Amino acid sequence: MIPRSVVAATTLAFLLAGCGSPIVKAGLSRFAGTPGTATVQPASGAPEIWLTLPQRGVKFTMSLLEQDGPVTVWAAKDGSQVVLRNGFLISTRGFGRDLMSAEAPSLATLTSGQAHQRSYFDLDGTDTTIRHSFTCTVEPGDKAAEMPGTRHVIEACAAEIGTIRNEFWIDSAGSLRKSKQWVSQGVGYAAVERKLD
Amino acid sequence: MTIRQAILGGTALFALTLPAGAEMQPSLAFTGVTGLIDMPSGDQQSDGVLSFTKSQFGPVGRTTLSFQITPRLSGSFRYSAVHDWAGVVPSTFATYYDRSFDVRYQIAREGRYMPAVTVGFQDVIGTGQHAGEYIAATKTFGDKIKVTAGLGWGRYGSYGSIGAPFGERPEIDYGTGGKPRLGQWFKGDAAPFAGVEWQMSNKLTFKAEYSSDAYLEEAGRRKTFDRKSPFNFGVEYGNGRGMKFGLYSLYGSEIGLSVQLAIDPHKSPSGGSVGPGPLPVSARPAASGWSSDWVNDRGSLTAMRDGAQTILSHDGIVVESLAVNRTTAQLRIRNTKLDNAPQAIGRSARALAAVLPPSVEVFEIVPVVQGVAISRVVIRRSDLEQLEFAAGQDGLMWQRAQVLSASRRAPDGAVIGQGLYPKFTWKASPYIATSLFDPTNPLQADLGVRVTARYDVAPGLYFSGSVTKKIVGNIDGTGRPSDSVLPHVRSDANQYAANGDPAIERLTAAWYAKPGQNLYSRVTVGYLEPMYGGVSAELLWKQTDKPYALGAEIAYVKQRNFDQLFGFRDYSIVTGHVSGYYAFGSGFHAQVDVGRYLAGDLGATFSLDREFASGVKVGAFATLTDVPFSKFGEGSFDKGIRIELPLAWLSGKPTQKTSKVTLRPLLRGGGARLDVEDRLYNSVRDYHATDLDAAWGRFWR
Repeated sequence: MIPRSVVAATTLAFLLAGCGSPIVKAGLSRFAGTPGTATVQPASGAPEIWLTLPQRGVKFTMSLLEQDGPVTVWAAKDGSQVVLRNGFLISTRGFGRDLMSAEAPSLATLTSGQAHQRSYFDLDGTDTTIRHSFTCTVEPGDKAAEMPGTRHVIEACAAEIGTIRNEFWIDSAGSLRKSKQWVSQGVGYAAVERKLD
Repeated sequence: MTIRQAILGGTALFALTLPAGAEMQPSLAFTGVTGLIDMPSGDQQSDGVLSFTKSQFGPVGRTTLSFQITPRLSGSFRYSAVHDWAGVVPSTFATYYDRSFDVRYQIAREGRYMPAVTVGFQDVIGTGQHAGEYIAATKTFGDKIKVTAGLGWGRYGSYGSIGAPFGERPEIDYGTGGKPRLGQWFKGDAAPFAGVEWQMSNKLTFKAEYSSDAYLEEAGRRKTFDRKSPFNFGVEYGNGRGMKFGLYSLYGSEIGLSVQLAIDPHKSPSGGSVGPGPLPVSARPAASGWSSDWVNDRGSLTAMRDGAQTILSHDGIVVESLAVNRTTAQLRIRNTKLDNAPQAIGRSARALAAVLPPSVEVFEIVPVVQGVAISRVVIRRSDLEQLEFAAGQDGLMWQRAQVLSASRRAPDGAVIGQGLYPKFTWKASPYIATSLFDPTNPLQADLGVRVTARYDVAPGLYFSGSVTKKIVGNIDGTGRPSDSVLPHVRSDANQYAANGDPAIERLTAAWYAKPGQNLYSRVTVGYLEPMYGGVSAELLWKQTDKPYALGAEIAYVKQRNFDQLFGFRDYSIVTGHVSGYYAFGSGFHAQVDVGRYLAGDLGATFSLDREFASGVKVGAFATLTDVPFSKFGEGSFDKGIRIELPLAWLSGKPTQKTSKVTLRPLLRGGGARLDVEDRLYNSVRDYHATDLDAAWGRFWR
């Protein structure tokens, strides 16, 4: 099991149990900053991804802020975040019409090509949570060449608001190398690509 | 590189495929209601849409504010002007200004074969100059064509009449206006009207119509323009974000222009909140390592408070106090920046998870407003950990969280926030003051600087003041002097507007307290508002988990001098109200105030607001008192519309600033109330169950 390595230092409990205030102060220095800025910045040297929002024509780097088992939280410089579970996008923060939470399939469901249900919860302009339930099928895609050594898989989903198509590039080790996944009506799709260096 | 290619290749997939018909936007007419060019249609705007329409053809200009109150009910308030009024028939006005109010109800929604059918009442309580009723049916064909046909009475029955099916239209003496003319509805000549809209693209719409309005007074009698033909044509260009411009040919003789702005509260201009994401919930180490040696260590507690404050200062949340025992922590917070209450609670819970020892399982978050504890939101730390990434997390968390009443004081042993009392703060900002609807100069405005300062002595006790200095503007106070036969309690507003330079808007001492479990109190002394000074006291009874509340308020006030410095005029009065509040759900909030008004008149104010969790509010109010309509003067009774748009909704950035407008056709002496700052109900309910529930979607934001 992977520990919550990145933010673990913030758990002052460790420090408080046995030690005095100076260490607490040291631990808090990560949070120093002015109002309106992100509460916490990723550690330097943290793993990175490329995030692209095609509808807005922007592409930027996000760094790993926290890992909790299969869930990874990534933060951009401006404090916006995306959360992935096994590579599947399950939430965003700070993109406007954010995806607040989502029920995503497992990678196994995708690779086996099973039909499945999916739920997206986003916030409309009145700050009211809207649930979109999709029925999805999986089909092989034809763009594997964009990411050599991967399979291209398309998840086609339909709901009352319309249809969406998520795309995944899965490598031979069975992990997601790249994807293009639906966020919300206000944001469109987000493309996520692992940054290898 | 590969990503870029993938994006370009996939462009066609980004658009959602929407059901046919849904793409045609309901458009607005010259009258500012949903319609064609000069004729209404059977359509309605989407639920909650607020629209402004400014239109002009020849001598006829209209400015209209419309609101889609429910999916089927809409209301409009219009200010119209007709130039050249005295050109042929003598009149005291060169330009005829009038205000009118419309109500529309959609009796049938559009179906596969059924058209949308709307019944409309135009100018229901104004002078009746624009009065007309209609039934209009609109059917969409495919996703580009809409056809409308209707039958009108009053104005809309004045051209091409087919007779009077329900009898003659009685003449009505409107007197001072402000009363519905029930007896006229659907009486007199009826005439058909029709039109068609073709939405060529998302941006371009063409319209054509046959109008049944003869403009009897404007064109017929006063010859302000020449009505040559009943046919109107136009083209409208929209930017796809609610703004539209239109160019038209009207009545065969005039060019028409219109500008329309439709604001849909469901679609914020920023798309939603764009502030930074939250601090992830920290995991607790395995249970075996938990220790509670820190419980009696004051130093540790202080360190925890400082830790929480350091984290929360990013969101403008001030730690008022923190108390922790082995299993439970109570954090008292003051939210100075976030526009959404549940988000402030959520961020506070995340901060506690980061700084508190693992044995602390229960987080009690107590929001404090004006020094008074408003409620106690209880959140279990394990729920926070479990639901952080769960689908439908907000609904699940709302089920598990509790909203309880808060005790007056922080628990024993709490460490108090640092540097909070006493504290002095001040700021300077620009302001705009407007004076509307003056018949000689309907739009006047001043621009200046406002300086506000506040000195917090202790929790709930503070001094504050606000001073304005005009820099530039044209509010001159030369408008019609008040002809009110009542004491001039509000009707000298133009004198105040013209003479206060500089003006002390407010200079008060305020004391807020919580005298009982569900009781809140306020006492304010000093220069309470620009026109009155004195003392005002208020008591509110509100349970944390109930949608209703009761309040009482009493004040002794003296009218201030027009210069708004320290002096008073010789009018004083005891005024007060008993108020009932009720939240109906789906954002409808009602309020009834019964009492004695500033002019000594007795009566009641009824208000109904529609509020969205984002803070966008649209409401209307009316006050009926024992002042007879004839004595009240023009307008007959006090009424108006109010709109509130939070800056955070417009920009997406976290801020509590809002833009508020109250539109009154006329401000006169009857039914006038004191305008004290920070009344209790609105400062309390944000953190009570009903409002928290409505806004809870942002708990995890």
